[in-house]
Amino acid sequence: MNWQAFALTARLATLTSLILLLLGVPIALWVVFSRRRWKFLLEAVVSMPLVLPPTVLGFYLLVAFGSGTVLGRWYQRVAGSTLAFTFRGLVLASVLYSLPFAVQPMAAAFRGVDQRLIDAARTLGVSQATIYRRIVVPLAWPGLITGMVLSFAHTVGEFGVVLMVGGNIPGATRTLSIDIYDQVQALNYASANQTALALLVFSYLLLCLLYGLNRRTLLWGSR
Amino acid sequence: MSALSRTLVTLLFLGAGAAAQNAPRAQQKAQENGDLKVAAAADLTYVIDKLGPAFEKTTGVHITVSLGSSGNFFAQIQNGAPFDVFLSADKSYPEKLEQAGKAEGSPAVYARGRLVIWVPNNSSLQLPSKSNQTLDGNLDVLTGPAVHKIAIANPEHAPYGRAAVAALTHFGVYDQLKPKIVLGENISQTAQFGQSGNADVTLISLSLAASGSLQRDGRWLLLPEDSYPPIEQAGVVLKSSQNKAQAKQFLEFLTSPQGQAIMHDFGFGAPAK
Amino acid sequence: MTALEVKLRKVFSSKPGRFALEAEFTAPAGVSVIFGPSGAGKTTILECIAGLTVPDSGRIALGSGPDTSAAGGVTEAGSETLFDSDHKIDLTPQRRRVGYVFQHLALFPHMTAGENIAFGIAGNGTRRETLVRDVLERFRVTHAAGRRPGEISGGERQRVALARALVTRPRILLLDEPFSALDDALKLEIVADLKQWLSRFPVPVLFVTHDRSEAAALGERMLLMNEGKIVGQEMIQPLAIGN
Repeated sequence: MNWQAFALTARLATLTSLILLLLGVPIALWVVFSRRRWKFLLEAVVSMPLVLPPTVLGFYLLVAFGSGTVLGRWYQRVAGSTLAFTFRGLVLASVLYSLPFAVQPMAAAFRGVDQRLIDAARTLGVSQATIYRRIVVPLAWPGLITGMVLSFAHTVGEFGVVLMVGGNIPGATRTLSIDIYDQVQALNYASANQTALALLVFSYLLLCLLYGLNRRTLLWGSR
Repeated sequence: MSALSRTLVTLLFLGAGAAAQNAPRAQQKAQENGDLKVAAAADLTYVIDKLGPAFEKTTGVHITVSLGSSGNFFAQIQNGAPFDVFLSADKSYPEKLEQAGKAEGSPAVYARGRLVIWVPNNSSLQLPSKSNQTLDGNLDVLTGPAVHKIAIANPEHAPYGRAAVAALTHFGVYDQLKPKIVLGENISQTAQFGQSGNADVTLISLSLAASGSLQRDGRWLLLPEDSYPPIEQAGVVLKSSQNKAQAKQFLEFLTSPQGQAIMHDFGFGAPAK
Repeated sequence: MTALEVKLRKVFSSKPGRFALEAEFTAPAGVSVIFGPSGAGKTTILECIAGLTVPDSGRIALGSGPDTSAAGGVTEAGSETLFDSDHKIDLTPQRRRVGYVFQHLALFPHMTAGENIAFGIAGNGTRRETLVRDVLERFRVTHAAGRRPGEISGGERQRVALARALVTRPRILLLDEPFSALDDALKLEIVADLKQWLSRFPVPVLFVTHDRSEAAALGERMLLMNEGKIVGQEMIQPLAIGN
């Protein structure tokens, strides 16, 4: 087991899911409660990483990070180096790549909040922001947890995008999935198997936790 | 909450679909039946487009090509990938296949690969213009302060990556440059890192640097051939092939004067006699 | 003394068949019962007044008397237009200051009774605490303040819902069959406490029910509704509950 890759992956997934909690909640609220007619356009953008191969995102990120684009040149001038091959770049890529995995369960949970409670809050004169903060979000917390766990798990399992923009640097961009790939390439099947098996068990346990949690909240909700 | 579980199922399902899209593209072309299926190292990207039609013209046999890293193909072939011919970027993978009993006959060296330093056109690094010059001890292009990232192929499974590490070690700068090195999965991806403007310097094959869009977008400099062990590229017919006769014919074509002339045009050296 | 003036029209084409709601009435301070079978459109009228449903056309206003049918836009002191399709006025539910007790109460399940009641009071600090303590006492649920809706009895939930709607001093009170799940004795107790409160803070109250004894216990006048129309109005003689 490559512990450096393990620690890196854990750090990447934790950071990604935390950022997605902060970013996903407002996006999901907007997706659910906005009355704009064109909101489906943005909804579709958020969900695109679900259907696009990771290579598409990886390719465009690589191009965007490079010195061929205004954005890439600007970042390289400010930071002195490209976003590609850096941990920061991977965080950005992971946030984009796992966005739907955070937003979709959150939006589903927000949609599931009893409209009558929201109506009651409106007649009590409180602002829409207060309704989100004190009614919608607290009642939808299982969805927030689901979104975080799913985006965490999805980031752990990320491969294509990392391969394309990571550059395989130990401690910065060599994640567990890349490490496994390398070990298979180098014909270290035993070592690859060890890491792969650990990931398999981890993913299974994480999903068990998630489904177990959803069962529990189902009981809570029916009370 | 049932909406939640439903999303979860959908997401997992879609996730599985996305994972399936990661499957190696080598398998994609397997359905084309009569064709000769060639697994080719990534440094053959451009030259194979010339070799294929030339071979078809002489023999009437059409080839379909999958490009990738030699190590990747080696692992796939060991696990039964349905190719007829494997063109590696080195000699060791075909030899290992022979030892494993997966090869039909012995590997044949069809070319010698050459390593270059490539920088994009807009780079501030001083490289002699597009010419066949070699690096003459002036290592500023590698060690200068303008160099933040150096892309090489992954030495664990790409022969050009091993050659790059050997060359940098030869010049005594490997340890110094190591923190700046980023690894491409194969030699083409390494080139992408440079071409997209993310890596300042890339070490790639001459065959890529002197052809197609890389020639258009950048400048290159040959590394002296004594700075790394020769990249002897060998090919082998696979035992599992259904078209062994045509596969052998293809390997022979590569080493024929016509095949070698094309190889030469794309920057490959002739195999050592 | 203000009165609620309602004139509205709303057509639902999505319901099986076409359903047209047409209502025009004035409700002075005191309890007006809207009485009719289920499906008559009683709840929809309340939702239009609260601003949760938008009528196709009409006008909803708080006026100073039953005869203020003056041209829209002219507002006298103490009167305000909540909705007017002709003048494109449509206040948000937040700005209408309407107290609404829903049929299912709609108490926030994750908050205690006290937090539910305090939810609509602007600002915080001692004023808020005083208001909450007072209303808890008047509706006899001080002991339940720290418990969540899932942990108190049906009658207590009813009282908390009333307290939450009234603590913000609404200008109109809308009651949508809030007592239907209670037995008669409990109902009478709560109605008595509600009447007590309304004697201190008289506002127009619309009380939707399909139970004649409830109507008799609380109401002073009755609007009879059927199939989206108001089919009659009558004054109620105070009666004992029990048919």
